[in-house]
Amino acid sequence: MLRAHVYLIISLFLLGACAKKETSNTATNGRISPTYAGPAEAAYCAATVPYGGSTITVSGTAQYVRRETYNQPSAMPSFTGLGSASTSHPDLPAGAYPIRAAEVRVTDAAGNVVQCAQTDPVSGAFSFTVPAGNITYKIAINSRSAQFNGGAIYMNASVLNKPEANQFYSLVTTISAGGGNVATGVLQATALTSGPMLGAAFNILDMFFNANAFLRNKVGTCGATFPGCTSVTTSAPVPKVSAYWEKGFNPNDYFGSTSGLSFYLPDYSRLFILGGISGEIDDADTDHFDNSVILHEYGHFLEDSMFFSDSPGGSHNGNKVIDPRLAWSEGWGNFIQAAILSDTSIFTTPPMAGTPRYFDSSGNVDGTPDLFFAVNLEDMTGTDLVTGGQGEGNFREFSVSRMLIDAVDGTGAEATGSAYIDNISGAFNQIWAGLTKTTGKAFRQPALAFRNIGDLHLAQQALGTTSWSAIRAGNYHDGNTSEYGEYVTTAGSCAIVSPGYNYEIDPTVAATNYANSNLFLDNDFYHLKIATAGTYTISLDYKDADGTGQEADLELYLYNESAQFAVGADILSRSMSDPDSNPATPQNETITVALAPGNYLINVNAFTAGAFSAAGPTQYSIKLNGANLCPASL
Amino acid sequence: MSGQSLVMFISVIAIAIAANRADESSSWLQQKNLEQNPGLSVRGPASVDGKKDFPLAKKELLKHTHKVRGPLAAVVELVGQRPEQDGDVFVLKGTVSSEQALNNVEFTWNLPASGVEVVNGQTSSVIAVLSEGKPFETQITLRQVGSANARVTLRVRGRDSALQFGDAAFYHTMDQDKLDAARLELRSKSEAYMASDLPPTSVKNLDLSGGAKKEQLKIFH
Repeated sequence: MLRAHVYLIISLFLLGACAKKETSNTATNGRISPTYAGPAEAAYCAATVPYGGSTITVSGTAQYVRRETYNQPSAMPSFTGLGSASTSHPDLPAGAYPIRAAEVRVTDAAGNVVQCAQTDPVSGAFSFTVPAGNITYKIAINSRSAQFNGGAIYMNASVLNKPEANQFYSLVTTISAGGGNVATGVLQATALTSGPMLGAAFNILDMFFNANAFLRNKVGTCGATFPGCTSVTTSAPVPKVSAYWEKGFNPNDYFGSTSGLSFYLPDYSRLFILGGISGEIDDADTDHFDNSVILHEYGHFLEDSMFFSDSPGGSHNGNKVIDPRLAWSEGWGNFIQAAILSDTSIFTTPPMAGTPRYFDSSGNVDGTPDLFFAVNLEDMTGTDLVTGGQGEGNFREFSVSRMLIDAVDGTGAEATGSAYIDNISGAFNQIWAGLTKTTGKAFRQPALAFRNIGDLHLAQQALGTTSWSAIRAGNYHDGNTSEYGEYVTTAGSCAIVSPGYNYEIDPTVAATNYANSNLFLDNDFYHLKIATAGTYTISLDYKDADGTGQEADLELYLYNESAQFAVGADILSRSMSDPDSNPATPQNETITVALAPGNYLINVNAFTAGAFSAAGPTQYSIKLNGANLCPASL
Repeated sequence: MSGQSLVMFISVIAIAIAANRADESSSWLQQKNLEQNPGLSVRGPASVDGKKDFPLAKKELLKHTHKVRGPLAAVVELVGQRPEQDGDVFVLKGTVSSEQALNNVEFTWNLPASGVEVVNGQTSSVIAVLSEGKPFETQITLRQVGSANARVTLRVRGRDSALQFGDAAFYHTMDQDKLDAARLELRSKSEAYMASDLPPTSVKNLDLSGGAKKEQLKIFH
């Protein structure tokens, strides 16, 4: 085989894009919105073009280089953060990995597509034939993947520069077909900050490959085990995702903020991955090599595309009592990245072998390396502890992550509550069934709303398999929705706490106002479903629970289905009367409101006014048009 | 505007200002009460008059997820005049805050090898106790050296047992205004685009094999 003179150039696929490539400090030029439709992405090079006559075979291998995350490695115990872009660095080497299942597009000098191929899903190798002759071809390995030649679909994904252009990245070389077969050798997308840093784009793509491989491995036959579960296979893959990344660009610029941000845009199947801040990379927060962040965001895409998310969105730090829908959604994202990155069926040596963690780096060894976030997702430590008792775990992101980790990791791993054991392992298919089934209390039931980890617990129990009671208790979870979004109806059944009163609340956290009140301890939430449009009266009756004269000051709020807590636009009505200062007198809050058919969230809030000024245990009942609202099955 | 209308307008404004002051006064009293009674845990009477007129949050135009961030946050602000030429002295204020109480939080002003030099202030230190809701402030006085942009960084690091947090904020001595303007322009464009792109009705999402269609309102509000 004659090895032709091969040289490597790396560029965006389109020449126009090369000319306009934005590496300035602003990098906001030409951008409009994360929701901008933009031009259509070029059609995928999906099938081999057959040739008769004289042809040559071109073969090679595509690789990308990734800066690795190091957390106090033995060679440099004080180092934390991203290492070198060089694979030969003595202490903090980069890794070189195959570009798997990526599009290969071959064009002639006029730009006509003359051949299509796809890199090997294991080795990154490629091989194709083109007409022989005194012809120069351009070979582009592109940052996207889809079905090729009608065969296996390893992933449906594109890594693009921005919605306003929808251009994928290309690792490019040219060959001459005049001298026989050509071996290009290894084409490598580097991680060098001084170059186009294509290694970053291909690393993002490769994380999607890993996520899809993980799902095929874990739930490829889920439907056979649990009827109704969505199996993921190479013929029934996860839908397409688009990831937008540009070197030096911070997606938070769309929102006018300077802090580094990666995010997922629900309904658009778009991820935005942080490429730097104002053009800074080596000294700034970036996420293109933070596989925890990339896979966390892909986890949000899975929620959106494969099951359902009711997350209200918003900021979160992992360790706070937050809206359980947000805690579930973010906890799931943390979990899925750790599950993938620690799985031995995906990696010979998993990056997170041993202890599942979440890493978010800033800078790298060529600038100012750091870890902006590093957390152990197996064990609770420090103040990262549940303090409010059983049920608080449903409101805490890391508690959700750890409970899910306990469901899949080895039985030798400890649950987070010292008094409990982790007796569950390898149960990802149960999680997936609970999320993707449309029956059996699972997430995709159309009737559900305000979905949170409590719904997954109910769905898991409905599977009738192993009991998760030990890992639930170990992570302070309630195995139901009793603390958030429990469905109530006038036909339901209440456990009466005293004659005329069906629920009790004992606020214990002093919040200065409603917006920062403790969602677990100082609030109760109920799912109300309205079937017929009309005007409805919802009332809250309450009284001192223990006769000590310290009844709480309860308020009644009604939210729409979006129900972002304390967001005015989502509050349909509220009643916030002051009690009459006589604990012997029952108190009442009443709202009358016109409602369309749909789902609503009733919130009973114990107002504490910055102190426990009105915070004794208090019993209450809630009524719809005079009839008690009590829990029922959906 | 007629004389009567003008009087009515002024009256309305006056009432609004008075009401606002009343709210501020009420809010101030609550805050004062809290400051004087830290960690109140005594349960008092059931009713606390006049305490519920609090503002509700506004809805974000675009619902999206955020990556998880640690509790630490760093912010850098220019105090006074920005540097415009070689030799200009300017002051940066760094604010370090945390969503939870942390001990021994490190902060460092990272300066480039050239382009700026310290006139006055600590370039690094340890905040022994950083309480929730009580930000720490530090100032540094710098001199612009030459006319090229220099990037000044405030880095903060903290730990909570096995959890590790950090954050950084930048100030570009000559380019900050340009960067801020570009960012604000993009936000403005983005908001305008999203506001004009409101979908009229719900959007059918994926129809997964064998499953019911899920119907979801689009994310704009």
